Amino acid sequence: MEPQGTVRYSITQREAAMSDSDTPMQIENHLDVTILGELQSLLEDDFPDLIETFLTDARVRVRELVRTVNSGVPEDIRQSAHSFKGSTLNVGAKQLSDLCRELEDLARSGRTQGSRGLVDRIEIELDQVESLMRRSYL
Amino acid sequence: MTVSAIPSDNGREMTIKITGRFDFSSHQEFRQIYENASPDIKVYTIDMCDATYLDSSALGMLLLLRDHAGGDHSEIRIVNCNEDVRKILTISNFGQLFRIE
Amino acid sequence: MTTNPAAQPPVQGLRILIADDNQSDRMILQAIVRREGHEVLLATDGREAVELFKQHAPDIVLMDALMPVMNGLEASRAIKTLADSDLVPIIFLTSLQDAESLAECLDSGGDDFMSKPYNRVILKAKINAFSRMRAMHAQLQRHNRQMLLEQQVAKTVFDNVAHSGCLNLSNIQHSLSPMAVFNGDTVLAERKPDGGMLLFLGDFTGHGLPAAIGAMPLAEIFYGMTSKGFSMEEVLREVNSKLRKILPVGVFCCGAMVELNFHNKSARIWVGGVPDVYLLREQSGKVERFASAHLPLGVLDPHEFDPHSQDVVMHNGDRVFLWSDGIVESRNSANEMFGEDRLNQVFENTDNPDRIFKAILDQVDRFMGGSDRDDDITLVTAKMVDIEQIGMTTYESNKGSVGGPVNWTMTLALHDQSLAAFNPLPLVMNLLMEVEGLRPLGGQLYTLLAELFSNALEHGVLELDSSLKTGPQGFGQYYLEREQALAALSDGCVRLTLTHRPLPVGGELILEVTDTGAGFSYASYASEEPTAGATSETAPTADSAAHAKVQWDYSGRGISLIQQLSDELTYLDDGRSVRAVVRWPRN
Repeated sequence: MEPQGTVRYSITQREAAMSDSDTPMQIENHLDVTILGELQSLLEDDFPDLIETFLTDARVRVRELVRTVNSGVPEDIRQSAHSFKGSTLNVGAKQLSDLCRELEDLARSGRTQGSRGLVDRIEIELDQVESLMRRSYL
Repeated sequence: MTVSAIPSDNGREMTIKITGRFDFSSHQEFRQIYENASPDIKVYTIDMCDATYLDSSALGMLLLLRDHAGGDHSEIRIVNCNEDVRKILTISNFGQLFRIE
Repeated sequence: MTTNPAAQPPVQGLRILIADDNQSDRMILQAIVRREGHEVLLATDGREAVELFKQHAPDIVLMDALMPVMNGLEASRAIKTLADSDLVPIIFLTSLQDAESLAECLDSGGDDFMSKPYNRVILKAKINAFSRMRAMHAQLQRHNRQMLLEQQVAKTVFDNVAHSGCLNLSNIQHSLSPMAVFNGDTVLAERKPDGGMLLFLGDFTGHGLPAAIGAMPLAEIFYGMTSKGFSMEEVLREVNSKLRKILPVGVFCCGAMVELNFHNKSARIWVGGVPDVYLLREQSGKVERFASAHLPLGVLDPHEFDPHSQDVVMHNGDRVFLWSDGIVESRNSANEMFGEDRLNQVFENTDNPDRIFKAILDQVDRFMGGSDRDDDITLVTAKMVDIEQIGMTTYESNKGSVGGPVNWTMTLALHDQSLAAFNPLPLVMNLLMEVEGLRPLGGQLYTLLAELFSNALEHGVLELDSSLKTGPQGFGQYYLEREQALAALSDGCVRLTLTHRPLPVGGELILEVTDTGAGFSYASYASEEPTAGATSETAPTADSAAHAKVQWDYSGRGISLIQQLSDELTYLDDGRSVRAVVRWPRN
């Protein structure tokens, strides 16, 4: 399962680089469709519930990120970014989790410069993820 | 602890070399060596030059070997004992049963 | 137990606790775990997880590391404490990457990780693996409980066989862990019917039940034979041949046996395979060592076994020390051995001999870093005292018959070969103890018989000069000559005649001992004790306590003791025959 997913991922990336206007390519740029496919077959009727739960929770987490970035304590930023990263990984929101990791790494190094920009990008990415998920999975 | 066996050229003798602590943990190993030895082997030498210590289980193993090698008719030498090992053999008076050199 | 995991049926029906503060993560895990047929408990933080654990005792815990209220590390520590000896695997759910954080999860009691995103196949495999580990752990615990139960039963049987003998007497100190028998260690002490004492310290090869199993017949023989009056040599012989017969080759008992005679102040010491027995002289503070001179018990065939002891004169306050190699081989944290030098220093540095026993235990304990291991030290020491201090022996008799034989006569004549190889006392005592009225007098009768018989044998038939026994060297010399004379004996006879008859109140036992020796001038001995006439038929004078006060004339024939034990004592035929009368009840 895992190796196949990895292979698919690398091909997808290359394809995505060649064309970023194509809709299926655009989805795979933001979401790991293999993971989502597995979740769909695992949760069956409860799958839409999971997506709704994730999206609602994600909004709460982003507000928390904004709050910690405003307060400017690197350790708080790191923790909330880390936490959010975990749940985004689980639903295959790979672009979102990459951004969370970037913010987490930045905060771990003790810096706050650039964190606001990252949170802005996280908010935009979440909007993307939400619309892609609603379009394709709900 | 390890036990290794070196058969002699004439096929009648065997040297069993003990390394490290000679205690209950080597029971299986020690037994396998003499039980798998050729029936032609009549003379055993236990080389203790690298043995650091032996406990009463080891004394028991020596008795088992003696029994295997013919009891009162067995020919077993115990050689190169350090002071601690020699002391244990002396206290138990194993000199009455083995040739300790 | 099946060892091939592939052969295991799929694991189902476990109760699995999931602790994660993120709702979507919980949903995913719950779905995976349920799909595999397990029951799910859900917690949203560490405290809830601990509460659910207390209430529902789940089999496996999936725990998020970072959670509000109580984090996963704290919660897993709490759960491991609650689980005690049960194995409750905790799998950390983490997107932590750095090695340090992962290590911290394991340190707090975690057993494994599961990284995000969760993979169903991996999680299933982990749950199965831990479930197998749990089953194995439970089985191990069942085996362990079973083993402890069996040991407890074995220990009870052993305690019933070995009881404490006379270890609680005021002149004995000993250290023996309650479960020492499973380390192969045994300490036994029992009184002889003549008031003497046999002391034994043994160390069987190996550990656990195999080491304990030989201790039971050993104790049975030791107590049975000692209390019936068999000599130390006979006890050793019997123990050796029994152990040789029942134990497999390679299992044996290193040991030391000491016989203390409180009448004539002497000891006989046999050492086979344990470190030197020490004899501490109270007067000089010097230690005499008695090295192991024999193979351990259970090694040699009965005809090869050598029960010869080293004989030594003792004075009041002198002490013997018996130990296993446990003391000298105790190790400290640097793996050094306590060693003989440190042991000897304890003797040199302790002024009060009564304190040496405790000083040894303290020093070994301190050496080992106070790790409370002195429980494992096996040590026994006994002091030479006057017999009044510990009292005479109550003769052990388990005879139940009421009355028993009332009027009877028995004659036993032992000729040269029998004299060298056979001790008639236990046999004769066995008969005497059939007579109900004589049972309370067992100890005295034994001493009386033993004295009369050994006089007839040693001074009569063997013609040994009793003055040889004077002085420390002479005592050993005496026994040596006794042995040589016995071995060379080609004729001679000792005849024991015992007659018992009822009296209007109680009864009367007449002991006659006749030998084929040259006789002796009993009058000169009688004059040593002017208050009791050795030749005249006097009225009973001795009471049961008086014999204990007798000053033992160990250079002579113990006649004053014999007089006090009997109601009448008559020498006939120039001292070749002696007749002692004992009437019961004694007042």
